[in-house]
Amino acid sequence: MNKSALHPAILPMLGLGALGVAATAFTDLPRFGVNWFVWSLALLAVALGSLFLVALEHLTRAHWSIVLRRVPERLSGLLPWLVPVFAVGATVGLLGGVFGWSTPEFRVAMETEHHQHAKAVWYATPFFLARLVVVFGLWLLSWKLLAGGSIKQDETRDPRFSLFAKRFSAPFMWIFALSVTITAVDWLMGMSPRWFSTIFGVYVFSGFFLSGLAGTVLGVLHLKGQGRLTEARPDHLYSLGGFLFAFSVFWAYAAFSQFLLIWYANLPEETFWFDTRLHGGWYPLTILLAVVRFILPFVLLLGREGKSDPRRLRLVAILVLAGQALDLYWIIVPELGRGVLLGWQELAFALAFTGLGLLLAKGQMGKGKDLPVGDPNLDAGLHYHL
Amino acid sequence: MSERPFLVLGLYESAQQLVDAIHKLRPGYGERLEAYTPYPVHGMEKALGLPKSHVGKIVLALGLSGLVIALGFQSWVFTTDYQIQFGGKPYFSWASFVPIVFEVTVLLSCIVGAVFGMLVLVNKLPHYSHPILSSRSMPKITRDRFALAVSVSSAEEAAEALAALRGAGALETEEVKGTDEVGGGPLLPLKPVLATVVVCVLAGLGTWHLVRIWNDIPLIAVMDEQTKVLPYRDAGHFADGQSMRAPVAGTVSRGHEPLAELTPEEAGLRLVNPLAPTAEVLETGRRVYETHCLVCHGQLGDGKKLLSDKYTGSPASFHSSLLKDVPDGHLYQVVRMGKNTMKGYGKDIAPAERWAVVHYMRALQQALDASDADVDFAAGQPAPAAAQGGTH
Repeated sequence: MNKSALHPAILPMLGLGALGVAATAFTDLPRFGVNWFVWSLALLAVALGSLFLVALEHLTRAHWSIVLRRVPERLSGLLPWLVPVFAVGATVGLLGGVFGWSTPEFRVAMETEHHQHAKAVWYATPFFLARLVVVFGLWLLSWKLLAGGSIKQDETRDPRFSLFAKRFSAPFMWIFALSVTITAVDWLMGMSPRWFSTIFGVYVFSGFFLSGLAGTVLGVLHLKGQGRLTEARPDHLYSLGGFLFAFSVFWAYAAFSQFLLIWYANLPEETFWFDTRLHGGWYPLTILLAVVRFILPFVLLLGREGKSDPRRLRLVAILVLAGQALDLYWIIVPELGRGVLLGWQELAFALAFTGLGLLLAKGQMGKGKDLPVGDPNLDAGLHYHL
Repeated sequence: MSERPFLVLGLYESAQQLVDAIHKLRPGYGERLEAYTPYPVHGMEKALGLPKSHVGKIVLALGLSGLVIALGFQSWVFTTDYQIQFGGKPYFSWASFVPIVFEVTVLLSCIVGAVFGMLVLVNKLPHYSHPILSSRSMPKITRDRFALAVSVSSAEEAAEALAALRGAGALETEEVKGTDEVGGGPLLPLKPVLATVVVCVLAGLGTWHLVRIWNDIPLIAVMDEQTKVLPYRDAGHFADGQSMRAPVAGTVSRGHEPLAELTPEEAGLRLVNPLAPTAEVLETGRRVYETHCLVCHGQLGDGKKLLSDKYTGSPASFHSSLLKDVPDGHLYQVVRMGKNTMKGYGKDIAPAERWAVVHYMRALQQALDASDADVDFAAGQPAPAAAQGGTH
């Protein structure tokens, strides 16, 4: 069997899922909308988190991860494919009133309620569209410069690109921080537009970075499974595992900080958001989220061996990605006010978007050489020892 | 204590040479080998075949016990021992315990577990030194030489090991003598250390009991003996025993109003309204009047109170000839001091507001007794306030 061929389950999964997604669109548009948000943001998390990992390496002059860098560079190649996905999401969100802030009820509230009045400026449709276009433009530009330039360097061997990437990654951090916060406010916090939490951007960022890391882990293990990227030794995997461990803890820290302050202060205008999620059918999902996103990765990666064990890492990476989707579901879907929605529609979305993500990621894995051979510091990365 | 051959050292020029030498010597010497290098060398623990350190297990065990202790203690205190309601939360509010659980877990695992585990397991407390630290080779090892050490117990073993080290390419060799069987270096002088601890504990407990039994013993005299003012005691700062001084003669305190003791009649003769009846002043007067005066003196100032008839007082009407004729200063003083059953409003109404309300009272008087000229004036002429402003 040709190892570089697509896994035989992906296309049927995608096809079956797409049928279900289409059926949902015609029968239940709000449900289609929220699920679309969940999964398009899950794919965005992988792509953008990967791009952040690339920029982080350039910014900190890290050498160890140069060996692995091509994987996150390829994964960030999902970004252009997400443009139509987000175009659909924005259309459904605005025309179908699926965004919490685009519902007729909240449009009236922004006119009449004093505390919501100021939000009318931010949530004006033209401003939202302008933000979306600018943010995506900046992401695509950054992707073109960082990932595209790196792949070009394979041929040119021009060390000037490495210098440029180090300089560019500093302003990219500003772009990234602001654009992730804007995305978090528009697509996630905006689902419940009366609610606010100042740490929310950090919370969303930690999930995005974790998704990028998990995608990178899976990509590296996938390539190694095909006998490619043999240069990635247990030392490299260990550092990747350490990152995954550290940021699982960081996610828990941000999530718990957000919860503790809001729960303790008990202000009605803040606490209702958690009140929804801590009662009824959402409560088990909240516990599940804590288990999948924090407790399991923490326990599985706590030991020294676990961080470089490929099987353990693959399991944690899958948990992290599933946790990201669950996290987004847990943020978005309760705001529809229809209780826990888990039916064939959700299954269809999970199948379709997992299949789509795998298909796109698989397509990207052929881009450039497996190692960034043009990077002048590659040698230091190859000789990385713990 | 007699010294004996303790270990032999071979110095090598690079980490690679050291690792090669280790590979040569391991079959014969195994666990008796130890390496000393100027910086951590990657893969050294594998080359030496070192077993996995126990520090990790100690850290985990202490971290878990920190978690259990902090969670258990807080649960016991807040649910059983000393119940206090915080913000209407249940007694068992696990979320509010988390920060302390986190801190204690980190404290026990990192400080106690990792640091003390390292001191005992790696640094071999209670040995506080090691023979190699006083060897000739030590300065070189901390600079640019990589040392392989073989522990030996007799002169014959030492000679054999030296030959083996040279055979593996050592540039220099050294035999190091030691004393103790186990760690080689001197032990911490346990008896003096323990004696010091015992003396400290006894001294602390003894002092504590002394203070409890004779609590007049001035242990910290500096803070006990300070001069300060206490109620019903002689302060001792001044000859008369008082702690407060009278102000200098003729001092006027801030916010003090002179002539406060005048009767309304005297005030009518001596005080003049300093404000002009501008629109702004009349507006202030109206606001003050409606806040404080209106309930008794009525909307029109005619003494028709808004209060229930059960209140039997009969407030004055401003439209009596008496009140129309008294000067402004008289009204001012009544607002301030009160009259008959009316309380004084001096504390509630600031001086400027009192004068403003006097103007408003005058306006009310004029409103009920308006001439044709006044009506024409109110119908569209420029306000008299604007014309009169500044003439006072």
